[in-house]
Amino acid sequence: MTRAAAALALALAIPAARADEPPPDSGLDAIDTLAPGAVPDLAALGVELTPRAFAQPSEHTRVELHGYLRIREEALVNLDLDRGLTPSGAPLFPVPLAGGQVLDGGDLRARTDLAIYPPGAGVAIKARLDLLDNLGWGASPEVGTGRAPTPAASTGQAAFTAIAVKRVWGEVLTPLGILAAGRMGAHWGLGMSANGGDCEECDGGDAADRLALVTPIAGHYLALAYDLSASGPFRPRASATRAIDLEPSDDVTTVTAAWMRVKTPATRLRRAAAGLGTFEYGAFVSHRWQDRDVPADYLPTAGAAPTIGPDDLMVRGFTATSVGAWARIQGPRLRLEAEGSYAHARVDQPSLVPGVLLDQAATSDQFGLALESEAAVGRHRLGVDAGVASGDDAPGFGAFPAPGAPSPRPGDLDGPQADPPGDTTVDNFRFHPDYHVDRILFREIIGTVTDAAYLRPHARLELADLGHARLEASVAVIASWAMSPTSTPSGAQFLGVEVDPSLTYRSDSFRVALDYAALAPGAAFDNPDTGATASAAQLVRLRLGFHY
Amino acid sequence: MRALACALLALAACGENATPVGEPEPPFAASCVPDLDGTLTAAELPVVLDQPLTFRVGENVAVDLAGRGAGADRQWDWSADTAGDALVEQLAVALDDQWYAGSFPDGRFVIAVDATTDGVYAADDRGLYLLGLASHDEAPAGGKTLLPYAAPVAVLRLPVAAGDRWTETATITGGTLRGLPYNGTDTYVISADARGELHLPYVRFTDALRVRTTVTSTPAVGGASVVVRQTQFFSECFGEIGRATSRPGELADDFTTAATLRRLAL
Repeated sequence: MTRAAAALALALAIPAARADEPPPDSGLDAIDTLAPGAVPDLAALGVELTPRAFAQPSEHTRVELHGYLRIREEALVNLDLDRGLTPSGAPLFPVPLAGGQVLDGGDLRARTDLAIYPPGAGVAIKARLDLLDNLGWGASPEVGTGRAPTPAASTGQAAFTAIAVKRVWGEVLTPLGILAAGRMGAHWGLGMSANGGDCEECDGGDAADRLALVTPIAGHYLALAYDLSASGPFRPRASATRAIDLEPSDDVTTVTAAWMRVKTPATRLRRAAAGLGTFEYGAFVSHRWQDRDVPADYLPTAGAAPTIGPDDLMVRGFTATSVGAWARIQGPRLRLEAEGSYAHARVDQPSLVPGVLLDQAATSDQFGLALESEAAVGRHRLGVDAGVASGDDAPGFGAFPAPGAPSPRPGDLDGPQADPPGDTTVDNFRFHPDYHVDRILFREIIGTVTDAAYLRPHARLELADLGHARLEASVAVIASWAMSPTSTPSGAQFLGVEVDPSLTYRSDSFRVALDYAALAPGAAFDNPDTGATASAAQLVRLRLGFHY
Repeated sequence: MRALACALLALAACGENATPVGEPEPPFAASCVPDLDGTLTAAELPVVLDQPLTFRVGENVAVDLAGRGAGADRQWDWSADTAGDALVEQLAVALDDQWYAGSFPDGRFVIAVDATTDGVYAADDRGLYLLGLASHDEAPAGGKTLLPYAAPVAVLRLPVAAGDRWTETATITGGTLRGLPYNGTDTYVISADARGELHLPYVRFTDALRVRTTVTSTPAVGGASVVVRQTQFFSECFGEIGRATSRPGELADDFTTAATLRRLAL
């Protein structure tokens, strides 16, 4: 079952409900650097198209650009925890080929959020383009040419075509509300379930091909969304310039309804400045379904891609329903925010192989909960975050199981969580990988928060206010436990304690941060086969961000 | 950056890693995807060495070989979750390391025929070949068996589809059967005669190919011929998914009691 299937239809695009001053690494720091409307906030969708903003309709096309250039360089020390291989023969994290302890590298990304406002009022076309998206630093050297036969002789980086068009959508103000259509970001609440990947430290992000309507009712917003989450297989039409979807019954469709009361960031700031608190909340229900499937169209195959025919069409019978809620209390000196989600899914026919039908359906019952808090103490901030993601008792965490991969053995780190006929359930909830709670354990080793609970006290100290810039120090301590001990490599429940300090300089358009992390792994990562005890891992990361 | 990291990370041991580098795990890729065209090709009969497949093995059990329905709608119900079944791992291994490898110069891999006997095979685009039999151990308690065929027997001629029939004759000269000299002839009459759905415990193969094999073993000296019938089911990309073997001397193709019944287990 895919992450999207399991996390279900949380491909919602509802409010990126964000704090004005989020905690470090909450992934929300860059909210004020994005183009208006670039944040996939249905409540804010088209906010700039409102009649008030367009009392004087524009006579010319107006273009706004926002974005950033992000450069990261990092060193990862002993993320395999020196505990040996899993029963399947894999390390917990890649080991340097020469057998050392340190892996290093960096990457970069240039993000452009574009908004075009045609003459008149009430219409916008928006897009997100990422250039050199997560491209490794030094990853495209000129090599193998007469001028640079080896990497050592490389004269520099070769031209690299890497423009990722992640979103393109339009918005129009109608008498019923804001209508949006196209490929747009998908985000809900804290980003635990659906995350648009809008933060500077985000690596991915959700996007949905969607038709959405947001309308104000009784002081709330009602958002309705229709997503075509997957379609195909495709074949060229006669002109070969367009393609045709060969089968409608294998489309994956998602419908979502959300009811919410939210304020714009500017409103929250204004209320906070006036000493007023702001209470915001929202809830959604989402349903996704797929009647049939053509796995031969997407399964990775060792040989030539198979020719798709009628026999490749399989019954799938997939349905998934998820419900979720989010709330935030924002006062002048306090922020409390929570998001919870429950999802139930059923796959009548879990087999991915044409001609092979399993007798048993697969089911999924998952829940996740994330809490964030932050209080201002003078110029400093303190808080405690916590979260829990339901687990599955199959071996491994089930963070990123590949389709068709063999079942994990007890002691493995990851793998499919269903293993019919004895196990037909996938009950581990997976936080979105761009919802960061730490730097090593969940983010790098496991991949995301799943089958786990954590507690995260944190603090941020303002060391200097330079007028146009600030120098800050922050630290977070994350203690975590597995929900199902059978999922961990050793069978023990305690995952470990991680300390994540940072030193950050930030101005309006530039920020530099030096992050450090140290993980003291718990007994969960000891190796019972060899008797090896998991040892500490560390990380150092330098981040540069140029914003516009 | 590594030097900087080592300098910064006072706690880090910048020495050798206690975890072996190991072989990078290859990305998962299905060796093939069934096209369900009713024809089993060599590409759809992958031979993967050292990867165990688990089979349920029962002895002296009732079996339905005739099936219900006709044509492509035929169904065979082998889905009974029989408590007495043994779970046996079938493993194709390279011939090279076996004690009898020198007797089968054209052999490529070995699959256990039963608990004590190995079959030696080779495969190419035109077929799957049995080159003979040998006891798993060189000196087992019941005596050594080494029965190399003079020429390979195509137990499957590829591509194979319902309606294909062929006969193979194999001679054994200078062989050893349970410690005693053996010469003789094995005749294989093979027919792929039906397609349909084979229902195994917890899983159905909707396009299974039924292959019947009748083996007549005739010793060169003394003794009577022995006839054993076998019905196998093959599925594209999975290979053999079920096999029913008769008792010696069975007369009916659709025998109802199998001396051995093997079924792919999930």
